[in-house]
Amino acid sequence: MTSQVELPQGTLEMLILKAVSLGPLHGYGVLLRIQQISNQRLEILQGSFYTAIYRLERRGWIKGEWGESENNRRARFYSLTAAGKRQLKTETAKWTDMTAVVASILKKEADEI
Amino acid sequence: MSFFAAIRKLWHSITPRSDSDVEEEFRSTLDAYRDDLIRQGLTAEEAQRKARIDLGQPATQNETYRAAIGLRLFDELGGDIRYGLRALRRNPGFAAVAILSLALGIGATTAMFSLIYAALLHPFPYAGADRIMNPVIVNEQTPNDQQWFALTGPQFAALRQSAPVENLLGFSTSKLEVSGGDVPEDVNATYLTENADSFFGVRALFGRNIQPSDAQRGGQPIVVLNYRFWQRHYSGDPHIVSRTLELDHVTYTIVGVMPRSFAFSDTTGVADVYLPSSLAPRIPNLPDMYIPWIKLKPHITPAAADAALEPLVRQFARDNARLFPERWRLQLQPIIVPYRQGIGRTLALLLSGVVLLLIIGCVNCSILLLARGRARQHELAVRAALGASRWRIVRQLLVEAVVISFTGSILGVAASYWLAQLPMKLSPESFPQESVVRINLPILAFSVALALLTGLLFGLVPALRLSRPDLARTLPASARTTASATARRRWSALIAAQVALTLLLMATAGTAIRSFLDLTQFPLGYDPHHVMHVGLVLHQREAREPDAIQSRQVRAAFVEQLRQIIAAVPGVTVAAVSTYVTPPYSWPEQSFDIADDLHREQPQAHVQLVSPEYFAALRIPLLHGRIWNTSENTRGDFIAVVNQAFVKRYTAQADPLGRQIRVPGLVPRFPTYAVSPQSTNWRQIVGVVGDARNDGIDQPVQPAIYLPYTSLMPPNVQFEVRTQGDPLTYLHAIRFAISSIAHYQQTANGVFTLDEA
Repeated sequence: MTSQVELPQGTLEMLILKAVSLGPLHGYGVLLRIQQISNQRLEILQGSFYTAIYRLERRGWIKGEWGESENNRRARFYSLTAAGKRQLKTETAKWTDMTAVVASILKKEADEI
Repeated sequence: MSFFAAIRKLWHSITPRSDSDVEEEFRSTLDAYRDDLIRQGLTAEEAQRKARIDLGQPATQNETYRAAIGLRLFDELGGDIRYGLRALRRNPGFAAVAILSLALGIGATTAMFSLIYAALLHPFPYAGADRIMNPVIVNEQTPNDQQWFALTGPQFAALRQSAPVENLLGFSTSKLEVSGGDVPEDVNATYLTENADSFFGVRALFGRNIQPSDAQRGGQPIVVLNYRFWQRHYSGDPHIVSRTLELDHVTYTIVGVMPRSFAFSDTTGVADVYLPSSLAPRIPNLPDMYIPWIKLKPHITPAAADAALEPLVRQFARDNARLFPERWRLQLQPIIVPYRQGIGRTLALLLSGVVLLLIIGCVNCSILLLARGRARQHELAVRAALGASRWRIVRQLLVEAVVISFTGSILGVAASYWLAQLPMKLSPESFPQESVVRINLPILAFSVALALLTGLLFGLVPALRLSRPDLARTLPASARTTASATARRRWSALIAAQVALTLLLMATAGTAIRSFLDLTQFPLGYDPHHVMHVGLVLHQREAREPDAIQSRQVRAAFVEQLRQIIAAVPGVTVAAVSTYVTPPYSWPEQSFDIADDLHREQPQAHVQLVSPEYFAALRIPLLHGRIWNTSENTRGDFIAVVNQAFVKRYTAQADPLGRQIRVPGLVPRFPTYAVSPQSTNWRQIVGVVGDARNDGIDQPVQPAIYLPYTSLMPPNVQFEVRTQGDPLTYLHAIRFAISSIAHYQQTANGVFTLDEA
């Protein structure tokens, strides 16, 4: 299996936002989805997952409500709020900009400088 | 969304989620993950373990949640506070002493300061009293000669309109006589302009003050009574409003009584009755004159107002040139000024005394905190070893110190209110103001701030000391601290210095407070409670025998008769004569001679002419010998009694009894004085009485000689009357008794109880 990528700080929140943007999910569902859409390539550090969820909920970017999961168990479902949607767009733009810049710097060979 | 749903949403967005909520959600996710892992092939146990490793422990989830939210500091502080309270409860002695010393320091300081400040300054009850000014004319040639000036109606109106003036009161005074009653009585009347109510802003005790609606002429004449007059004349009858009072044969309706603190005005003579100026008697061909009191608008200095008003007053001077000196300038004086002078030093003394008290309280507290900090070294070392950061330890110690000082402050505030009430409850007559003593807020704030600062400071010192990073090294097996020898010596020196300082402060504070209390406490030497001073002018004219009052014997007999009839009034315990004596003051010092004594300088003493009952009336104790008896009193000569200060100064070696003295100054100053034949001859001292203040309450007792009043009798006489209850309530009966033997005889209106003198 390909090696797992470690997540830089702060990006987990962005990814959760993305995961939730595709549709409301309960906690475990978000975890699964992230792993799913990343093809199992992401390693989420101990305990950092829920810390990120709490912070996102506190800042009003995701909204949590109790509901019933597929096997009729009580679970808390998270969905993206309007503010969260805006935040996701901003973060995505920033991220792509940054990675583009960094990638272009790193790509430069010695002779191109 | 409905209104309630919106409110609920808002609420949820502010408050953190409940613990059970967080835990339940976590568990559900945990279970889901675990189940998945089981499906993937792990055993139940392995699945459980992996799930917990990856996601976290349910037990600590709450902490994680609160930390993620940012409540960590809040929780930690809460923990510190709770720990601090628990620790205090475990050491109740320490806590109690620390808190009490702070509370007492704050409470006593604030209470005493507020009380004495209020009593000393007799603050005026008028609204905006600090802006009320007396305009005076300062004569440039004799600047100490300052005079008030009066304005005519149009001038008054012009002044009212001028820029710096917010309100203007005009008044004039007069003497009226209460007619239509059974005894004639002189009263001081003050006519006030009709804006009196809004100018003074003092609520009447009953009824109302003078209002603009009273300005109509031709309306029913009304009068407002002064408190003391109401006590004297109506014995404090509460159903006074709408009764009538006849003054100079005109009937006035009483519409109000002013409270005790309203005494307008001290400088022109406190009025007994207040009347609207529209009722003032008019002298034909002369304009009505008003003496002005100006209330300035806020934030205008007197100097600026002087400058602004001077042109206007110059105009007035041109109109009434003869009332004004040649060269003069205007000066606005705040009405508070006469009271502030002479108080400054006393107040400074008081303030330093109470600040010292406060410091003692704080020092006590700090000593305790330091000592306690030292005792906790071991505990703090353990904390450090367990991973507490230095800041965390410091914060915890600080919180505990602040808890103590905060509790002490709160108790101190409560104590100050309670302590301030105490003296009023213990001796209600001693206080001039009748209402609640206001706690002086600046002093309270200052005390609380000082206490909190103390807590912080003295909590900080051990905190910093004990949280040093090398603490772990001081964690031996034993719990005893192992400070080095030098540190211990330093420490002992510090404690010793603090103890010494505390003792010094206590001694100084005690002295300061005692000397201040000596001023206010009245170790008078006599008992002024329930004693009233009544003055009479002996009428020369309307006596049945016109010149008989001139004769000394007749006058003496008359006065004695008066005294006896006063004494016979039910409720009067003792009545005595006291010519020109008003405790705690008396006639100025006189020279006298002592036989067989060679003094380098002329001996001086206060000479007081009294009847033998005087000492009983004022409860001045007799120390040696005796007081003269009635027949000796009638004779008046050859006999004297002295006080202890006299003995100490002039007859220290020998027994004073039997010594001879004479007062050459006992001669009539005016023809209306009657004098005994041998008044200046030698007298024998027959008794010594205790010292009673005779030069004011703040001056030491001067040597005094008491002689029978019949030696020298001016045309007026004063009585000191001791009664069972409030003396003023007996005044009417006394007046009645007096008039029964001399119906023309009025009492002067200078009647007052000795408490107030």
